[in-house]
Amino acid sequence: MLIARVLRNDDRQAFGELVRRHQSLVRGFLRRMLGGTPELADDLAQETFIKAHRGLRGFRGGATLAVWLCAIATNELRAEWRRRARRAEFLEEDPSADLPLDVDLGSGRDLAIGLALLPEAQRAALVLCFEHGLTHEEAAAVMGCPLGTLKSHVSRGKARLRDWLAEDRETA
Amino acid sequence: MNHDEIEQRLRDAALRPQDEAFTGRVLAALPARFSPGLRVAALRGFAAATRFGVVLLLITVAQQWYVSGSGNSETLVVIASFVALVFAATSRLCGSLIPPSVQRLLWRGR
Repeated sequence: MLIARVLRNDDRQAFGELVRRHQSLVRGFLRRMLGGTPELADDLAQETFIKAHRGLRGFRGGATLAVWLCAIATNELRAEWRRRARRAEFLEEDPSADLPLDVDLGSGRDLAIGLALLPEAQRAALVLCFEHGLTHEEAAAVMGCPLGTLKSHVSRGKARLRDWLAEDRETA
Repeated sequence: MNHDEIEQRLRDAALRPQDEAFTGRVLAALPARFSPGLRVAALRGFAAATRFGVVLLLITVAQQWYVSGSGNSETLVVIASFVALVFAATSRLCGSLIPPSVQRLLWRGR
């Protein structure tokens, strides 16, 4: 209904309602994926919604709007990582060096650090499936990978996170 | 810690930022929109400019053809036939090249 209103009259109020409904998912996902850089995550989230507004006519409704928005956010994320890699290559620095792990990581700092240390695909799979409650099929659609690959990311991610948390507890 | 506990901890620690300032920020960053009236006017203006351009092109081609040719009446007939054909074909494909308001004026003039 809201989508129809946006498409028919470019209704900004209706689009604002869509942003209100889905911002916690998009912003939360991006914040986790960017390892605690909320300003950058919000910039990418804003870009995600602007692209969604531009491309809303192409949204066919085959997936839910949440999945479609997450897929756009994932593309934004990949573009950001490519920019980082290029910059790191140019400056000859470690691309992960600018991830401040001690900033706004939410409750459970140890869990947040453990997540941030996971490979990106495993982190994305865990965040989408457990933090935001997407089904495996939906998360696979967001990440553009087969269902089996997604399940493997989830399983490996959980195992690595469990090991890291156990290690962290022992050290403490 | 088993896998279920990890899942539960992930659910509990989920980041769900939500504030009205972000909504306002996104809405402010959206491209300016045309009002429906302005959009219609812009489309009509574009269509009129295109028609005018096509007619001007036809006139220019016909005039250049006439100047570069022998300039006799046979050439004039050939050019007129060519222009009439192109005019008819374009009108059929893209709609009338003469705007309805001008057509009404022409008919009234007769």
